[in-house]
Amino acid sequence: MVIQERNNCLLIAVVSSALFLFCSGEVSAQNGDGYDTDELLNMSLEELMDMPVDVSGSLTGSSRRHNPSTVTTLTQEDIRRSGARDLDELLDIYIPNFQRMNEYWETRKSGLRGINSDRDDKYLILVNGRVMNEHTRFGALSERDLPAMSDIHHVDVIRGPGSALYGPGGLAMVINIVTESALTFEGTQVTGRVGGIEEFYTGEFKHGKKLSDDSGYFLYAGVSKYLGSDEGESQMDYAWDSIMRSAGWPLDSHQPRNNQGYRNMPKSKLHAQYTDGNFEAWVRYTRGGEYTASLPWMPTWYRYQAQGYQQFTVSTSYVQELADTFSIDYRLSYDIFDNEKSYFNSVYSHREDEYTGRMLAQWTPNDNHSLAFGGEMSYEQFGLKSPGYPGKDPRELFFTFQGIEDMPRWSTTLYSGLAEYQWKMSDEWTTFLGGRFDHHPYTPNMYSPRATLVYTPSDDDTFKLIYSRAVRTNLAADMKITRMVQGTDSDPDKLNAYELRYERQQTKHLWLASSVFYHIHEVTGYNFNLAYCSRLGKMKSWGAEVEANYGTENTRFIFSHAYTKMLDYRRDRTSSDILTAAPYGFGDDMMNWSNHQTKLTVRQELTDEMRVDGSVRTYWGWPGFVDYMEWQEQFGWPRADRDQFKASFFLNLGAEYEWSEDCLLRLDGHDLLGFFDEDVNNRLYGFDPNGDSRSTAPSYSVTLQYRF
Amino acid sequence: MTGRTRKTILVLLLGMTMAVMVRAEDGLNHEYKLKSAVIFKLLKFVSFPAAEKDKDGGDSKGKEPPPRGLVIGVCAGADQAFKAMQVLQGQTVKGRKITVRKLSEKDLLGTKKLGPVVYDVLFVPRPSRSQKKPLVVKAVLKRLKSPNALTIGEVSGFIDSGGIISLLKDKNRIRFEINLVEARRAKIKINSSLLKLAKRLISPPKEDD
Repeated sequence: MVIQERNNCLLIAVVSSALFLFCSGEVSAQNGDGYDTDELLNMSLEELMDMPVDVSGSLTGSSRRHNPSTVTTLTQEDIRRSGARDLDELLDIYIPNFQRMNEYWETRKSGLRGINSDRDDKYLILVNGRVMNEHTRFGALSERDLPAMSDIHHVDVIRGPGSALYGPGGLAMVINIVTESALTFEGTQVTGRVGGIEEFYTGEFKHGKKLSDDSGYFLYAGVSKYLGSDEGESQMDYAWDSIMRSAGWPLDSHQPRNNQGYRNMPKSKLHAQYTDGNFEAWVRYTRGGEYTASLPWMPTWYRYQAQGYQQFTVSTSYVQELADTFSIDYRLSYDIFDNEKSYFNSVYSHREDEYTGRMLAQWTPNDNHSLAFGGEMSYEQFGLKSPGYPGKDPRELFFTFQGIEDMPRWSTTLYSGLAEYQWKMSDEWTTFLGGRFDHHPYTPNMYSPRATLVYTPSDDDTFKLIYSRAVRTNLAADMKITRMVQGTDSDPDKLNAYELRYERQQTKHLWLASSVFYHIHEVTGYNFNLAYCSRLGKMKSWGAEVEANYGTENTRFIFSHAYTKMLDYRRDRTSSDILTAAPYGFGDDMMNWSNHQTKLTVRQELTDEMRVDGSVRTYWGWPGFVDYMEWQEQFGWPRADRDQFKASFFLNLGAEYEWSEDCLLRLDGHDLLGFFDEDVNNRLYGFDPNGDSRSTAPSYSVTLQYRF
Repeated sequence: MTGRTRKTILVLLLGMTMAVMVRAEDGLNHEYKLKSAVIFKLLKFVSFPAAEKDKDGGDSKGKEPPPRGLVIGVCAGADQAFKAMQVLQGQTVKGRKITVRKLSEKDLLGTKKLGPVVYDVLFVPRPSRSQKKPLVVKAVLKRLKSPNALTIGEVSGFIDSGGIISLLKDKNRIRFEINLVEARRAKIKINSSLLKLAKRLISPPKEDD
């Protein structure tokens, strides 16, 4: 009760602060596209010419204001000034209603608008428009944990379904990482970063050279030794701590360091890109992953679980301009994904190879009509030997659960057709109609239509009504198991999403937005009754988000608050999951989602050389998890501590000093409230009935960047 | 947290957004914001014909008067253009303070006598749907009595029909084209480093051609 009151007071305090901010009238030059006017006026002509006009989220191309999706863009400056140590932390700082939590069995889990899972399979992660998800058994595994991020020019996050554009898997969101190229970065830059308490060492090198006005090459290498934080600084908080201690259970000194790199190998990223007019080719290699804590009741000898990966991708694209109004975009790519996993002191690793091809034609007969249409094909091979463990045969735990010791080798081909029509009906009204069809041999045919109506009654107001249907094939291993065990197709995830969004440029300095969304989600996920993923049931939920972005020449505030609420969950009779206790009559919330979340970022330029930054993120408690624990306690389970489910606060502060245009020194403090109360930094372990948590270590990092 | 508290907070948050909807000042579209910043930068590479001195400028002691302000006229067209260009109001280029003025279709195509303002830059945005007649650059210059204005447009073919610079969207980036023949006619000098960045250049024929 005391905790709840504290949470309420804090929530009201934050909201009051925001209200004060808005009502004070004088706010600064900022709007929702990520760049303020003063920032643009201070850029060089070359920098302005490198800046994209349209953003991700549409096949036919559109400005941010008319974009048929809700998109947030994070620039290189946003990345640097957040102090984020990886992509997950970056998105956690900025993206409204983006949440992350720990997970015992694999690695951290992320989601948006109440859609997440015990794999990161409900969203897509892209590099330069190419899907990088692992398909066999995990989802968005690569890129997210890598501390080296100087290769990123910007990140577009499509908040909401994106499978109409990017294919199966884009349910909750689509994260598109756009890398630097010779056209956006010229010269050489080296960056060194050292983290203390949560210990890491990162070195980065990037070099871009233009060979002509529209051609050149870009090279990047980033390597990090990530040791993480020890147990003393990032303590586990077990829900049954007192009970286990009184029983003499050895709870301390057995968990790995928090966020420790997989197999203690450096987290690496290499990227090379060549651009020549309409032709572009890039090669990318990443290695990452980390150790994860394991359940306290596990025997000590198999408590070290870890999830690692390697990914190698080659991608080429060419835009053929057949006329001023007609062009064709060709893309070909090849990808190797090595999934390395240690469970129960055994290695479960395997590799998948993917060949993809896409052809997309775009026809814009005049300013009012635009049509994009094309097809895509993806051929994948699964069950290949892992290059990370060359001496071991490919293995996957879920086959083992079904008594299939030898992981089979199989292949699939996905055929897709996609189209989008954009019609500017008048100065005020624009409509987008589009969709995608996907045929996969292991699942019924999938359709993901999308329709958006954009209404701009004045220069300052924008209304968007968005309907999207998104789909996701089950993970490849689960589809294969379903075929082998049941002889049937595996049900895909299906999401019908409705969103009403309103954006307003309130003043030159203040931009406001709010979204209300409603989801009907036919969920496919891990089914305890079957020990693999299958259809679980149908969930309805809704939510609301408010955002404000205020900036003057020297000051900037970015604020968001999000609310998500489950309305109903009908679990299938044959399934068993840990998504909510509502079907058992306990509460009406999602178990693995914090209903309220608030984010605030503040930036201040003190002088031309000196800047300070701060951000705070708050997860306002986990009522659905408490309901689940209460349901369990009905069966005689010991009463778990409730402290794990209280609000968490993550405060970062940073300062940077720019000696010259070439040299920058930055100091960041991460999760600083933990210095005063470690419980404030708690991260819950989701998708597990234990309800344990681990505090993230309050820590610091120092960055030195030099440009030649 | 009780259900009532949650509802209260939600109402507060939604109300917060609605409460501030009554005021409106300025709304900027990303493309036009970019274009206005590009124009601001372009002006730094341009030398105009000797700027007229303020009428009240010089004094009897022969002291040099301050340079005249730089007047940008934004012609009738997409509404967002004028909004975005207004961010340049009060900015300074080469010591000249920028003033941004809106020119309606009536101003440009009507017959009513216009004020004595001489425009240094004329931005001709894409025509709006409600626009009755397309603008003819030379006629506009004549009407505005600003024959030496730097004309900047954003429709393809702008520099082929008498404009000096056109801003175009190419591969999702802003690019520009320059007509040096028209620039020379208007006695406007354009720095060679800007010419190097131009996607297309219309140059005067060489004398020996």
